[in-house]
Amino acid sequence: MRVIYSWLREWVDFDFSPERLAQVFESLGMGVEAIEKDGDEVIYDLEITPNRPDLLGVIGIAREISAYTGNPLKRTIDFELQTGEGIEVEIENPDDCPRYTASVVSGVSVRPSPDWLSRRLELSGIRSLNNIIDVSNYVLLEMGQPIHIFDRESVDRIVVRRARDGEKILTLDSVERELDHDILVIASSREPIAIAGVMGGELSGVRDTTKDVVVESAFFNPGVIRKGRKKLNINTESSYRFERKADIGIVHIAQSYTVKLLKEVCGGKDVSPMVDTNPDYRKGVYVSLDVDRINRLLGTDYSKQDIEETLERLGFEIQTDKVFVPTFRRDIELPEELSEEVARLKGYNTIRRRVRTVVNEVAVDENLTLRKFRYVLEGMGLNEVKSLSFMPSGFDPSVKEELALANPMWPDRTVMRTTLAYGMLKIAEHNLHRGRPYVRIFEVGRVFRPEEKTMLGVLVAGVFPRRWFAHEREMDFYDIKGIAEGMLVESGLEGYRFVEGERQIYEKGFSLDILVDGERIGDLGLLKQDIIEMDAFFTEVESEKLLKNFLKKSEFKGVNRFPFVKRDLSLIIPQGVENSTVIGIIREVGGFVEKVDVLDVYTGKGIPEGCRSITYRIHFRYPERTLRAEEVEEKIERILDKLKEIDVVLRQ
Amino acid sequence: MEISEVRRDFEREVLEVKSLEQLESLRIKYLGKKGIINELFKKLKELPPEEKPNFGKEVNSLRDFIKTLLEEKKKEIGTGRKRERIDLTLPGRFYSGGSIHPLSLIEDEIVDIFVGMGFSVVYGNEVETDYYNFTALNTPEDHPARDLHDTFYLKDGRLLRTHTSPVQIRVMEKKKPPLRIIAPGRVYRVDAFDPSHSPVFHQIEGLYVDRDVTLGDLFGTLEEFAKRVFSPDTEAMFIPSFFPFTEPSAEMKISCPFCGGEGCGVCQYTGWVEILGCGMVHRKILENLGYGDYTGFAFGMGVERIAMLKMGINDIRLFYENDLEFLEQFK
Repeated sequence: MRVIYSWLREWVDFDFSPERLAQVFESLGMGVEAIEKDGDEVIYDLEITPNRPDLLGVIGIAREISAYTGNPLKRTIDFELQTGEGIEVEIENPDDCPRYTASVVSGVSVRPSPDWLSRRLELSGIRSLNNIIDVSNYVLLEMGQPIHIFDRESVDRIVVRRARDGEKILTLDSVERELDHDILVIASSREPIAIAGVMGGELSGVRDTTKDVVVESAFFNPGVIRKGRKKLNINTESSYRFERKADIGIVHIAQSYTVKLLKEVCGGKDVSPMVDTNPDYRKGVYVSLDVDRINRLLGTDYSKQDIEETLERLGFEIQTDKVFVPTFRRDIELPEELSEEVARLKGYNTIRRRVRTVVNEVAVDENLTLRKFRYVLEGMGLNEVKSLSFMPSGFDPSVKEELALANPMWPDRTVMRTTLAYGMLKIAEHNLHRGRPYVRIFEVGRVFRPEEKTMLGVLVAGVFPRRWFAHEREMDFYDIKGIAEGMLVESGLEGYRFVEGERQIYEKGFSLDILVDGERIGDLGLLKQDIIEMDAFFTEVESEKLLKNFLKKSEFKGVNRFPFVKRDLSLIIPQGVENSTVIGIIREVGGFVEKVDVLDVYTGKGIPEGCRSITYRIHFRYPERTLRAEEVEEKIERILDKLKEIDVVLRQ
Repeated sequence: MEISEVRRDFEREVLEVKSLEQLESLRIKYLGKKGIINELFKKLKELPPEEKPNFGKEVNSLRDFIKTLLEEKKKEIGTGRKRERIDLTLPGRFYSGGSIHPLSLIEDEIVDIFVGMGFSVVYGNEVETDYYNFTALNTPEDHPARDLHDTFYLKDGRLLRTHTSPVQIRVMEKKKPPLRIIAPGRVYRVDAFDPSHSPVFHQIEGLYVDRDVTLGDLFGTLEEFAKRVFSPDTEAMFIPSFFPFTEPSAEMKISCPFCGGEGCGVCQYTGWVEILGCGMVHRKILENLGYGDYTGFAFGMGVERIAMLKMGINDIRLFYENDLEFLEQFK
């Protein structure tokens, strides 16, 4: 809402500088978006909250300044039309249109507006068209009440009714619109001539040759206007006010004021009596006044008298234990809303502030867990990222049910992510394009499968560049497996294992599922993708399952003081036998094997075609005593015997 | 030969020793069978009896001194492991951590402040129903306030929450007051991706419901928050506002963290910047949940907004572009 300083001064006295006035607006709850100067004029662009339609007119803002300063409004509309028989008005349903006034002004002549009128409109952001339309807009700006003016020739009588399905109207913006029963129209005997409260019809509008006009000032049901204009996808100054609930009490005043201006500015001569379908508009709306409750909610100790005076200044009428709510403040329905009025006028910043401290419940919450684990990942050298939550449909074939957006923002990202992989790949793409040799990133975020789960994802891709102490090395499967293993160890989970996975976001044969107690908690592998040229390796784990023991206190298990006995075995392993099988046998047969390291994997010279040589270092240890060499030798013999059964032999 | 002279010579010679071999010959020169110390002991015999005790003491002490210094020198030279001079200026084999996303850093900081004041952390879902996102928050179908939220809808009729406020209802449905919670999380609005808007962003919701919670409590709590998250001399100002689910409603402004209230581009020369919306939980909401005897306050703030103000970041898209050059500035 744009409001002009000098226009406001016509309505109420105040001695604020333009800058000080801006502060007053803010303290009353009108945000100042901008202050503009144009010649001698100062214009404010105010942000009016949707509950305050009364502030969408100069008069409403003047009332607030009046309440703030205690200076009364100094203008009144000193011209009031007589009501009586006039143009025929029929209201199909008073719920849709609780009040309608109309009068006929004859003998107007359509001309450009005088300067004072066109300048005020233009400073307020409305284009000047001709004197008749400008008058209606002027009243809208000053009173906050939308006015519509018809050419008398197209209006034999006025019917306010719902449109019939399929009815059409050509609106002022030269668009033909199809109507239906959700849309309220103003009609003549023949056809709709306006979309009520939203936009007039082109054929019934004022034109250069117009002589006699019908002035409409009405109050329409806010919900009906909103529904209709949304359906038609139009938003006008008029619908904006009606759907926020205009002032039913100003309808006839605005009507009179319009007619007065039509006479003064447009040469209007004869005026018919005003038809008013609801002169009884001032139906009582009362809100109970409970001083104690107001103080309790605000944390204040205002006296009863103080509160009553404050409310009176805002236009409320005090009646012992209740207040009458003026028609322009029908946003007020509850006692709490009165407390806001009191606090607002007293000044929010005069309320004594207090901090209460209370001991909260002891809880090991998800927040603390995730936050600490983020630092574990950070410590591994990973960079945390946050990607958007949308991905292309079909990116993750492993999830059957996708949550599709009805109104996606990007045509290629139409579903909620079921994996963090897509967003992280896009981030990898960005950074690799920017010339980074590699990325190692992690994300903590929700996926939708379709139930929401918080996942931890890690993605690595690219090449570690050469250094004076290290060769250039492309990241591979074992980088991501190592990170996953690190995460599992750090999480404190015990008894995890890997089995070959099937999840279709990975290349077949290049993925593992992570199992804990037989339950799949995540997976890892080489992504099947064409977003980046390099291989991208990814792991994704359900945080709730991974981190269920993370914050539990560690248990001391004692320190084994006896030394390890270490033995290295270089084995020749035929095709088809995997490392895990060999280690399984070593552990099973070896008895007190504490650890098996893989020292070397080798193929080539000296190794039979199709075979691999793997060197293991086996750490034997017994918890109660030092192992004797011959005990270890005996175990080694038994391991080798057992391995022979699967054709694994010692390398000579 | 004077004892003090011997001492001086030794001190000088020991300084010149560079290797174990030289050290050994020095040891022989002084402590060997025919060494200087033994020569001195021989001399002892020739002295008059009254000088003997004193001279003997001094020679003994000189011998101990030489022994000690030779030991130290031996340690200094090393145990014989051969070391070559290295180029100390070559770069190290670098071990370093990664980085934490700035939004996580700020969220953690905000959460800590409220946890310190007795709030507990809860989470809500990002996919919500119309009921929890709007209707239960006193924003029925035809409410114009819905225009302020351009909503992402799912094809199944649900929606992506436009704010973290549905958590208020979810929590109050499950648990009776007294309640003090904060709920960080991701929210969504159909918004152009420009320097100040993002379709995905983060909020932190706060809710405190108990008997006799007042507007003064709300203002006090948030003022304290602002001082802790920005600086102790930050000032807080509250201006009336409107949210369908609070009454009274307010917006909090703080003295501009960049210019301290002097006026600059960030605060558009007003000295104040808006950081959050808040209010007293609407009576209708409390009554619908059966908590008519209670009062409460609620607030919601944008994490990006606070991060941008606190860290001087001028484009919200930087948070979602995830350029490593940006990310690595945050630890």
